[in-house]
Amino acid sequence: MYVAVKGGEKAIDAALDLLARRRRGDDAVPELSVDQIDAQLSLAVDRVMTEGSLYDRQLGALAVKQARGDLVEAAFLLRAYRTTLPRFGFSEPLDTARMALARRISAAFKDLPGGQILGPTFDYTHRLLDFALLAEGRPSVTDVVRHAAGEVQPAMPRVTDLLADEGLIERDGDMTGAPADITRDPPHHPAPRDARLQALSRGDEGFLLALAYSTQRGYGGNHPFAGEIRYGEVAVHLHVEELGFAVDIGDIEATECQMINQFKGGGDVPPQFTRGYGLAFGHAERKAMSMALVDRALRAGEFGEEAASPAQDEEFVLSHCDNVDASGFVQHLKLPHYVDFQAELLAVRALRAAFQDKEAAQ
Amino acid sequence: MNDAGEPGYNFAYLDESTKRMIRRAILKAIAIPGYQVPFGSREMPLAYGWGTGGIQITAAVIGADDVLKVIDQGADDTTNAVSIRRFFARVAGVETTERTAEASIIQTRHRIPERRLSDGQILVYQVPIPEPLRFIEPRETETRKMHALVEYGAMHVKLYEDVAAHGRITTSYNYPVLVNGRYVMSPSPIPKFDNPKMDMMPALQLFGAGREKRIYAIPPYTPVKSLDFEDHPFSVERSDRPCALCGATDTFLDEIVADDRGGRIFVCSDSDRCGEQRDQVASGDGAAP
Amino acid sequence: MTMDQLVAPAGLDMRPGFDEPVAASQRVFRALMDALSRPGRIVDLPALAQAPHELEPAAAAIGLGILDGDTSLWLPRDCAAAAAWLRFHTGCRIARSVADADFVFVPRGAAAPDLSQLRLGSDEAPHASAMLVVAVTGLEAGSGARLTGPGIDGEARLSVTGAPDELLVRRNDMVAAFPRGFELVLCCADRIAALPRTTRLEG
Repeated sequence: MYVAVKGGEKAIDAALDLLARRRRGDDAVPELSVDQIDAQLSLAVDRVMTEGSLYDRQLGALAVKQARGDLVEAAFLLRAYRTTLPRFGFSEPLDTARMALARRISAAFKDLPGGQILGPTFDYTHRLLDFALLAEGRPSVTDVVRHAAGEVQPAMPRVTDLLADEGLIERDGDMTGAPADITRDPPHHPAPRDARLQALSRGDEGFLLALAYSTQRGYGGNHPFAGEIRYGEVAVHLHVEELGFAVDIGDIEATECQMINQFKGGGDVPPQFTRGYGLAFGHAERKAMSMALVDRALRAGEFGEEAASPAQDEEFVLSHCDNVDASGFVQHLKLPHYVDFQAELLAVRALRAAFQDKEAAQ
Repeated sequence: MNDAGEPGYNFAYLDESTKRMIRRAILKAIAIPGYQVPFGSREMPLAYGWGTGGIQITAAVIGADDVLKVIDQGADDTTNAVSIRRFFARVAGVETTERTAEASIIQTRHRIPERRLSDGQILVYQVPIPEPLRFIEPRETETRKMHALVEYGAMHVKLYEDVAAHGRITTSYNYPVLVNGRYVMSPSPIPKFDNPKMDMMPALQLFGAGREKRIYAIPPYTPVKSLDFEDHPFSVERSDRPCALCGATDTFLDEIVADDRGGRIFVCSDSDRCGEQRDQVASGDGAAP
Repeated sequence: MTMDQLVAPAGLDMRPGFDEPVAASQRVFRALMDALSRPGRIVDLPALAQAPHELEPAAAAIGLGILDGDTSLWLPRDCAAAAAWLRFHTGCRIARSVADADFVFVPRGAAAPDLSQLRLGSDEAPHASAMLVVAVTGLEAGSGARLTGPGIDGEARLSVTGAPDELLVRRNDMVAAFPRGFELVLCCADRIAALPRTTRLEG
């Protein structure tokens, strides 16, 4: 009975069971708790929240656990949950100038009001495997460091605001009115910048990183300076129609990158620097910086620059940056295609027969 | 009504405002046969590329009285068909069937059932790439203009390049069609063997592409013509063998590799039709193979 | 007319909507889908106990089933109560003019709006067009005007009485430049028939 080659309910049930067992791994090893993932794999949770476009640390950690550490799969789990949630409205623009900073650096100025705050960064680690971490239960941080990690700096002005006050950089974009919502409306090109930024913020970190890198190597470069990268807690405000004012609904951790890019102007307009913007949930500098470079590259048309490189091609970038889309479609090739393949086999066999007939006739 | 489905979720999973948005897109799609209506496709608990467009259409269309059949590659028991059928049994509590004749909604991937569908049935196709011009012109901004201006010359050129190289059109599946004399449309990756079934079909045909966020439709009794040339008319390739299980000679067959010495067995891809035929043969009132 | 005039006048008796909105909305949609995919066929809509008197029960059911905050509705200015009722139940936006409306409702006896303003979409985006829902006094299948086109096996006949003057003639002119056009839904009590833009209507 050849229908046996086709799958079925039993096969699916067995696969689900095997997956659950593989996820748990060796029973002799204690089970990982969601709290442990949140606390100790926090950057994985940050990435999953950003690409899953849902800010919920516990659910992010749960998704990481359920996906066995596959972060793209985890982001997908969050997206599928997010889509069932009601939409209450949209927040006021985040006021990142009032962020409670855990880290803040500028590559554009040696010093500035508030100073440079190194904060928790991999930047100056020597990338030597710390074998001390192999041993469990040993304190690996000194009391001094632990104390400093809890210290949050007061709000301080953004570098771009300081420049904008002098007219040296373009102002922030228009933030009045309802923002686009790419989770509800089908895309159209050219997309407004708010829709582009949403897509980039949800976009795959690896894809954006590679594109950002390509702009640095001459494929659509725009002379970036890391004006400022800040990471910390920022309040989210929601305007409540019934109350007539905005209320603070809680704090989120976010990383913001403001790239300062080559100046524009001439004719009637005095020269000024342009911006590229990046924002991600949690602590995600690589993502925020990549996003800022790609955002600026995608503004080529706006500034009358030639747009010939992949990172400057809006339809290409926005259509391919989403890893839930991409992962689904690449992996759908695992689904049976034997009907189509059979159609191709019929066609190729017919063509080969015709070819052989022709050969024989000659 | 909500108690028919999964606790904590709306009937048929989608929330009502999403269903309304999809329903309005479906109505426009029916009114403009073959035109791809953009819609606010939602993320589904199933990977993009695995039938999210078809699922969203089915979820927006289905009611408690519907009887649902789901096939993939023509068969009800392929894993993805099983998975989607289970999803709806769970979230909508609807009756499901493997009998083509008994279904009010049939969701399909890559096949049209062999049995002629009837007025009142709805065939929902899962579509990976809705744009028939995509491999000629990858940009949406361009293909939209080409459809608006009925600029389909490039499509004919592509088909004719086959004729020049091979003496015939070699596209064997996802073979483009012209709907009601106006829009060139992708029939989804069905074998071209199935294309003629679309023409003047009494059932309503709905097409959903979730990742690409497009819905399109063919109303019942609508002319659907496979693109061709006067000197190279559209034709279908048929297997010269009967189905090894039911003996049918008029169906699309799956080829099964029986051994590593070139042995092949051919069986119906439409599992329901094959079963019916076998039952008839067994009871003696069908044509013997 | 301002939006405020159309939003619930004080002390308005706000009649209920569907008892089971999820199931009823699905049935309304399926009825509309049936009607649009089989032009000329007369389809029953789910009964609505207490529609506002300005609206045909079928039009009220379509409003409840299809409209929401993402759609805009135009109603004649003397139908403020019906507009308020639909806005209350669906959250739809009230369009200031026909040109801004996704759905244009013309109740029985009401003067038809300026149809030349109706949104017909563009050749690139023909779906960005309106649906016109018109109350008529009689709908009969099997006799009357001859209909052909997608959804019709051969031909269908539909007899319409009590439609606004010249509506069907104007409609034919306005759908001549396919794919631009609009959809026309004719309502009589709780029954509808629909004419998508593809339907050719003669006589």
